Amino acid sequence: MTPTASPSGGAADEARDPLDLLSEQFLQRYRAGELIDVEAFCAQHREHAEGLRELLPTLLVLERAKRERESTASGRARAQVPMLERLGDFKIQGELGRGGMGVVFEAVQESLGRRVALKVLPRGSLLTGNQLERFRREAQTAAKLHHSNIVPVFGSGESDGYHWYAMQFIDGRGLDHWFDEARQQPALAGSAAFGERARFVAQTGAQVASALAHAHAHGTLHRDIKPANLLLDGEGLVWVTDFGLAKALESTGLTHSGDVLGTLQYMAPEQFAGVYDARSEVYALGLTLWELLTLRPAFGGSSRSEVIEQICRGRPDRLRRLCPWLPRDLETIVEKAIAHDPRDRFADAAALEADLQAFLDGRPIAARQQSLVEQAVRWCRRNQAVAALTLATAAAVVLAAVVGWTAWLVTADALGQARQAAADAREAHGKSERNVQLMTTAFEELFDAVVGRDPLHVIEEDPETGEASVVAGTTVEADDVALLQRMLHFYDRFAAQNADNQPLRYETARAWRRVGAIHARLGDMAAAEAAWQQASARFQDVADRDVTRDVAGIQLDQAQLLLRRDRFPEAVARLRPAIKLLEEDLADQSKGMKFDRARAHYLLASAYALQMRGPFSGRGDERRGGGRPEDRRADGGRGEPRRPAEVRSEIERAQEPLAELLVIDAQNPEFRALSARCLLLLAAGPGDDRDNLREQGLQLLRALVVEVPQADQYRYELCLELLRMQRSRRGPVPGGGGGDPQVLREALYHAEQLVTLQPAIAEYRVLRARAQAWCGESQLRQGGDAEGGEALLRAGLQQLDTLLARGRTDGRMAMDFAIGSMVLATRLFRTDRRAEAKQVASAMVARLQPLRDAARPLRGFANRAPAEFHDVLRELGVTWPDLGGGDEPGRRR
Amino acid sequence: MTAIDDVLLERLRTGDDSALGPIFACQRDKLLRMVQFRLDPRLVGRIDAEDVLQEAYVDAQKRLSAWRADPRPFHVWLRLVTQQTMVDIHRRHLGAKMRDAGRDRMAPQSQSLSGFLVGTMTSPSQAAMREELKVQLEQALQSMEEIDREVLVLRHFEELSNKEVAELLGIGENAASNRYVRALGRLKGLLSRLQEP
Repeated sequence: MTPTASPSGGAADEARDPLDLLSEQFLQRYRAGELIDVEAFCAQHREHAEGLRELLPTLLVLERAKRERESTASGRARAQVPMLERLGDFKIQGELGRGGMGVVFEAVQESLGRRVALKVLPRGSLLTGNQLERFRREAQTAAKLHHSNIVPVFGSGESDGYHWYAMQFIDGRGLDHWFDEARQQPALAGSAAFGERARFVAQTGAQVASALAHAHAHGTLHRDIKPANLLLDGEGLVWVTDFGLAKALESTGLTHSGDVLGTLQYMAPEQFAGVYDARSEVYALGLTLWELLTLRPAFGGSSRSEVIEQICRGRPDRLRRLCPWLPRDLETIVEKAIAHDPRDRFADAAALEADLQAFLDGRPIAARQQSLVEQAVRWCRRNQAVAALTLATAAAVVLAAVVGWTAWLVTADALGQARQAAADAREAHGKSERNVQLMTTAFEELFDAVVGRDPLHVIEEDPETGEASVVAGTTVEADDVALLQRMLHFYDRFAAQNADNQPLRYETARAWRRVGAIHARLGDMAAAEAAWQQASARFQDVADRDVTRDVAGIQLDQAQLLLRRDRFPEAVARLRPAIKLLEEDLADQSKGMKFDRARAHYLLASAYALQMRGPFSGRGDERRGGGRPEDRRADGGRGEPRRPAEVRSEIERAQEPLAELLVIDAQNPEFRALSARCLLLLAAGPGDDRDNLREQGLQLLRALVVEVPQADQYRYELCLELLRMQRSRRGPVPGGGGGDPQVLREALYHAEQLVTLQPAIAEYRVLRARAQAWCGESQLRQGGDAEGGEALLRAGLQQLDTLLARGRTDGRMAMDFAIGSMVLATRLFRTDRRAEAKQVASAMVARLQPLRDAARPLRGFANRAPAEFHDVLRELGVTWPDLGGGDEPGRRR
Repeated sequence: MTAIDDVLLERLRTGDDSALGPIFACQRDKLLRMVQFRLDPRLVGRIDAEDVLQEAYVDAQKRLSAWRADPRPFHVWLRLVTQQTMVDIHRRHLGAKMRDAGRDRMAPQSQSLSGFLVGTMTSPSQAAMREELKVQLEQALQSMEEIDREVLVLRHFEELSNKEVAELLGIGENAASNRYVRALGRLKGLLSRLQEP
C-alpha cells in the first residue's frame, strides 16, 4: 500500500472531512505495521497539522487499546522458551520439539520419578485469567481421558512464570516425521509393499479413530488432528497427543503464530464457517490417512488464503488416480472420511473405526445401519424448505445425541459419586451442560420444522429484523413424529437423571408441549392430550421461572382442539382458568402476554358461539354440520345456553389487546390472523355489518396466504371460511340453493394446495373432498359444465366415501356425502342412467347407516331433504337410511 | 481476506447456498471483533465468541432467502444477523435480566470501552488508581452521544471503513466522517481531562 494513496478514493471522499481522510491514511500505515511518527506525519500535511496533532494521539490510544486486547499473548509469545534445566518438580533432560505452542521437553518428574513429556508455553503467554482458566480446564478434561491410544495427561501448572502441561513420555515420533522419511525413500514396488502400506495406514487410522471415538463420547474434541499430533511408537502403537490444547490456546494467539499452515491444512471446509464437530475430526483424520497413502500434501497452497481457497472449493485428488494399488474398500473408507459435506462423512469416529477394522479383518465394510442420529440427519435433508437444518443442525443433533448424552450421564454420575473429585466433576459437568443446551437447541430446530415456529417465539421476535416472523411447518409425516418422540424420550430421561437442573426441566416440559402440538396437528387427539398432560405435570415442577404463559398456553391449545371436536363445555372449562391465570398479573403487558389474552378471549368467544344455536348458527353450522333446535335439546353435552351479547363481549375483550399489538407490530402475521378470526366470528353473529366484517376478515386471510404461503394454517382457515359462507347460501335445507361457483372454486384451489403441502393431515383431505363435491354439485345445479361438474362431484364423493370408511365420523362430511350423493343420483336418474343412479344411492345408504350414532347432524335429514330426493329414491327403490331424529318414511316437508 | 468475492456473492444471490461458507470466512475476522467487543461481560467465560459466530452462521443460512430480497449489501446484512444472534444468546443466557434491555441493540458498553482505554493508560501496578480512572472514564464516555461512541468503536475496534460505518448507521458518508472527527476530538478532551490529576 502506498502511504500517500487515498485509502478508498472516489468522489465520495471529497465530501469527507480532510482530517478523517488523513487519519485514515495514518491508520492504514500504522495497522500495516509501519513505524510511523506523529510529528513527521503532521509535518507532511502542514495545512492540517494542528488538527492532526489533536487527533492522532487519541486515535493511537484507541488502536493500542484494541491491539492490547487482541494480541496480549501473541505479541509476547514470540519470546522463545530458552533451554531450561529445571522447571519446578521437573528435571529437564532434552528438547523434543518446538512449535507455535511452545517447546516440548523430555523431563523427569522427580517427586514421582516418572518420565514425562513437558510442554512449556512461552512466559506470559497466558496472560488473562480467562485464558488461564481455559487452559487448566482443557488440561483437566484431557487428563480424564483414558484410552490406550491417547497420551495420558498428568497435569498442568505454572512454575517460574512458565505454564506447563505434563504428559506421559512416549518413545516415538510424530507421523509428520514418518511422512517426511517415507517421502525420501524410493517409491513402493511390489504388491507386498503396497499391501503393507495399506495395512499400516488402516491400522493407524483405526487406532486414532478409536481414540477419537472415546474422546468424543466423553464430550471432548481434539480440535487439532494432524500428523504431528499422532505419535508412532516402536510397537506400532499410535498415540494421540495434545487433546484440547488447540482450543485452550486459541484465544491466546499462540496457535496462530508458528505453525499456522501446518494446522490449517487439516481444517475441514465447514470450519471456515465456524462449524466444528466430531465429523470435522473424522475429516482431519481422513486427510491424514490420505497423505500417508499418497505421501503428498493434500492441499499444496503456499499461502494461508490459497490453502483456505483450496479447502473450501475443492477436494484432494482422487485416491484411485494417485494410488491405483489401493484396495477398493480402503479407498472408499478414506474418501468417505474426507467428503466435503460433513453429512456425507462417517457419522462419527466410531463408525470410521468400525469400517477400518472391518477392512483389516478382511470383512466387508459394515453395511451401514441407520442410527437414530442418521435418521435425524436424513430427516433434516429431506425437509429442504428449512435450509438451516442442513449442516448445522445435523451436526448439533449428532453432537447432542452422541456426545451430550454420554457426557452428561458420565459427569452427572461423577457428581454423585466422587465427593473429593466434586470440583473437577463440576467443571466437566458445566461443559456437558452446554452440550445439553446444544441438544435442546437442536430439538428446537426440529420442532420448528415440524410444527412451525412456536407462536411464543414468533410473538417475541424482534420486529427490527424485518422478516416475516412466521416460519411455517414443513411437511409432517408420521415417521417424523415417531423420530421426534423417540428423541423426546432421551430428553425425558435427561431430565429424570438430574432433577436439579431447572433449565432442563423447563425445556423438557416445553418439548412435551410441542409434541402435543404436533399430534394435534396430525389430528391424533388422544396422543396430543397425553403429551400435554405430561407437559403440564412437568411445568408444575419448574421453580426457577414464571411458567404462567406456558401453563395457560397448554390450556389454550387443548381448548382449541376441543373446539374443533365440538366439545364445547370441556373447552370452556379449560379456557376459564387459563384466562384467570393470564389476567392474574395485569401489570405484565408484554407482547406475548397480550397475545395470549387475546387468543384466550377469542377462543372463549368461539366456544360460546358454538354452544348457542341462535343468530350465530352460521358458524356453528359449519363446525358441526346442520344443527336444528331439536338437535340441541337432544344433546345434553352442550352446556348452558349462551347469548350473542356474551359472544360479542368476549370478542371485544380479545380485540382490545390485539389492537394494541397491531400498533406495535402491524405486520405480524399472527396478530393479523387473530384479528381476522375475530372479524369472522363477529360476521357469523347478528348485525347489519356482517357482510362487511366478513369481507374484511377474508381479505386479511387472503393477504396472509399470499405473504406467508407456507403457513398452511391461514390457508386452512380461509378455505373453511369460504365453504362456510356457501353453506349459508346453500341454505338450511340440504339440496337447496347452490353456492357461488367462483367462491367455491377459490375454496377448492386452496384445499388442493393444502393437500399438496401437507398430505399427511387428514383434515385437509376432508376439506378437499368437500370442496370438490360442492363445486361439482353447484356446477350441476346451475347448468354450468355438467360433465366437468359430474366428474368433480364423483371425485369428491369417492374421497369422502374413503374417509368415512376409515372411520372419520365427522358430521359435516356425512352431510356433504349424503347431499352430494343425492345430487349425483338425481342427475344420473334424469339422464337415463338408472342403474348407476341406484348404485350411488345404495352406496350412500350403506355407508351412512352404520354411522347413525356418530353422525348426529344427519338426524332428521330425510325430513329436510327436498321432495325431489325422495322421489328419486322411491323411483330407484332405495330406502332412506334410518338415522334417528324422527326420520319417518313418508313424512316430508 | 476482507473483500467479498463478487462471483461468490452472485452465486449466493442466485440461490447457491454453498457459497455462504467461503463468504462467511471472509467476514469472520470482522464479525469476531464485533462479537468479542460486544459480548456482555457477564457472559465472558461462559460463551465463546467462536460459538457465537457458529450460531450466527446457522442463523444466516436460515435467513438467506430473506437476504435475497433485501436491498442491503451482504456484509451489512450479515452483521445485523450476527447482532441478532447475539441478542438471542444474551436473552437465552441472561433471561429476565436481559428483558429490560431487550431493545438495546448490543450497543457497545461504555463500561467495556473505558476498560480497554484505561488498560493502556496506566501501568498494572497502579491498580487502585486504574479502577478509579475507569469509573471516571466510564462516566465521561456515558456523556458522549451513543452514535458517536458507536462510530469510534466501529472505526477502531471493528476496523470498518467510513463507508461501511455510514452504511451500518444509515447515515451519509459525509455525516459519518464528520461524526468520527468530532467524536475523536471529544474523546481527546475527555482523556486529557482525566489524565490531569
